[in-house]
Amino acid sequence: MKAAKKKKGRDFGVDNLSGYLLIGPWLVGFFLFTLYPLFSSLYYSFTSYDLLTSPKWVGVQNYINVFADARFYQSMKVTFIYALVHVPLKLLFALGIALLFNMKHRGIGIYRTLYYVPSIVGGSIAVSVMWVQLFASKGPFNNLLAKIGIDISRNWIGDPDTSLMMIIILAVWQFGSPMLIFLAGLKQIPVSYYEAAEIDGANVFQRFIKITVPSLSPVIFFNLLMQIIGAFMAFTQCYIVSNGTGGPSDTTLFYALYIYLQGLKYHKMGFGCALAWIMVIIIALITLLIFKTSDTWVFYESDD
Amino acid sequence: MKKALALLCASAILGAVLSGCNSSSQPSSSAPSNSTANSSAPQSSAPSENTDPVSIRYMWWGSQTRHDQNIEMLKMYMEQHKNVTVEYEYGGFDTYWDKASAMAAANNLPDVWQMSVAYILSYADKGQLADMNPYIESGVINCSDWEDVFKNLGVVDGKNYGLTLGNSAYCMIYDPDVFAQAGVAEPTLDWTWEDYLSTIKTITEKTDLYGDCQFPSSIMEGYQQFLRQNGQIGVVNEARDGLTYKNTDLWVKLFTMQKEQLDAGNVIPFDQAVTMQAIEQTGVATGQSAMMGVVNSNQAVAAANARGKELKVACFPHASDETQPGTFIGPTMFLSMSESSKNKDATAALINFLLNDPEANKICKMEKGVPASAAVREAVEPLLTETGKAVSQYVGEMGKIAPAYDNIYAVAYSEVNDLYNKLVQDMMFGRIGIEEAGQQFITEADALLKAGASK
Repeated sequence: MKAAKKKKGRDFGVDNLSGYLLIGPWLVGFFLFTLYPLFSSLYYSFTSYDLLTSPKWVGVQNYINVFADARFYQSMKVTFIYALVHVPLKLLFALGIALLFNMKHRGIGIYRTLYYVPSIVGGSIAVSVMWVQLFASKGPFNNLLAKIGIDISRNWIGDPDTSLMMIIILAVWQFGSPMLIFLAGLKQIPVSYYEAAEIDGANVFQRFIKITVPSLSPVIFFNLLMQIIGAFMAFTQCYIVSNGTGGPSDTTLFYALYIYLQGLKYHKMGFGCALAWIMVIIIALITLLIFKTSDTWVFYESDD
Repeated sequence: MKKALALLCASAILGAVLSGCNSSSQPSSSAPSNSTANSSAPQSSAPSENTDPVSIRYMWWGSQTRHDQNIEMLKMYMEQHKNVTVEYEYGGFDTYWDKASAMAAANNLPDVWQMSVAYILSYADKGQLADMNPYIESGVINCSDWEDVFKNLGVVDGKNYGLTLGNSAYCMIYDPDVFAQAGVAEPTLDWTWEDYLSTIKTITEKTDLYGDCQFPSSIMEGYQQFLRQNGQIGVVNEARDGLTYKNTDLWVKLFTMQKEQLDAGNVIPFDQAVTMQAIEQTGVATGQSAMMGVVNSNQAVAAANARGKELKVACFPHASDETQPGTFIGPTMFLSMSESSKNKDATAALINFLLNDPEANKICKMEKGVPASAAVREAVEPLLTETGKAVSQYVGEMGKIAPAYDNIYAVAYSEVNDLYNKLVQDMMFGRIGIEEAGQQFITEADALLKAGASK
């Protein structure tokens, strides 16, 4: 009896305590810098808060204002176009390169490293600045076009018809991290599947559709989810490329940038927080949708 | 025993991490704020007046040039006042305001900080700024050689929340050599819109350059001056809660003119001009155009440095039938004192030094605009470049003809400004009609100003 009590005490007392102490620093950070701001932003979204005076409760007024705001719909449109165009393009690109890198080749390690470089530097401010230079009216890109006989003086970033496209290309170019995940996934597919298929007379295309894609589907699912969430939170590139304005003509007004403008530039933190929570709901719904459909197209080996 | 050991280890790690946080928080929180304390501050050798050690925090935004100059000025001050330590922090304009609003929320604003016409009302309204009139009256901040108009630039409801660091007027920067090459006369102080339009046309025809970089109405200050020369007081009304002019006639007239010049190719194509955000990127600084539409005169020296030659400044074109000039004189920025400051007397003394000390101002050479103090102007003028002298003279000339004008921006100003820029882009890229854009500006800007003022 006494021993049992003592054992219990040790299990739930000292053991747990040392565990909590070990993760303590992380917990402190989590409560202070993640959980607290999360819930306070939910509170602020129901207030009128200009950062300089204490917030005033206004109920759902911010949400009503958001849905009456034309720039909200513009930023939604920009963000959805960005997500819908850039995510599939980036995944296709990453998968294509991963397939190439999965082949046995001399010096393949060097290529892998080289192709990963844009992902390391791509999110940075320096590359965004370089992008502006690259597609300027007298920039290297137009010079290259001139060399092959297309004389154009368009500033690709400054023209509202192409500005968003330039940011999409910048994002697709950073295909490194999904590529690495695809590559790891490809390595997991047993070679025996391909050998058996080859003996049965399946060609390269059939092998890709019937073996590679289904075996890789959990990885595709993961990459798709991560990239979509990332796309809705994109900020740095459009902030630098448009100099923090979302211009020209609001064509690069990404949702996250609009939150920043409302919250910090116009001092409407309540409105900004309402925008942020609407985004949370949208991302949650999209994630749910992808999860629901995943039953039909994602195959796990244990299911077979 | 093992468990006890684990517990001990865990608490040791936790302790180490926590104390690590603690000790590292000291330098990290003051990482941007380099405190240049004179560590050996000997109290014995301090001057006779107040010898208690005082620490003052000073914050500004600007370029690297300004950072270097300000730091040198502060060193000079701390050498003269051994008991005073000035801690400083600085950054770029946008991050500066992110930081300032966070500091205000935490009641942790610096004692003295650079303030913009765009934000002074927001901070003053919320009780964050101290009234500096008592210090001006007592002479701690000595404004005796300031023109009266300069003393009151930062006054809101009778309280002085900002003293001008330097004054400027909107101007057009131009390269006189290109004018000579095209055989056109340089702009005079009384040139009109007709003169301006024929000038940029001739330059475009006779040289490889564009006449102008951005048409004057590309920024809202251009529209502002156009309204003023047509008898309005400005874009925003005196109460700062709505628009002054709620008609589209002048809007249509101005932007039809801009569109015609763009289509004629006398100004740099809009898709290129719209990406030229910094003064160093504009046509006059890169040698693509003979002029640069409306910019603040304190940017002329930076443009000349980027171009590598001396440039001149011209005024906004006059309307032939104008009732008053469109030009207005304003502070490039203010110095403000925080209401939360615990050392207001020492801070006021530092502000006086920064604004009125001729020797200290020789370090910064009108980088922040033309100083209000006559003694400072006299001391600094001989040290200026040709472009700098031209700016100083220009602001002096404009000071004579520009009527007094309350330049403090309404609370919703930055949002109205963004709306204006977007509409100009929409119109120039042909995505919206000029009349329609004008209507939209009137409705939306008026609503924004009203909402901003009602808080």
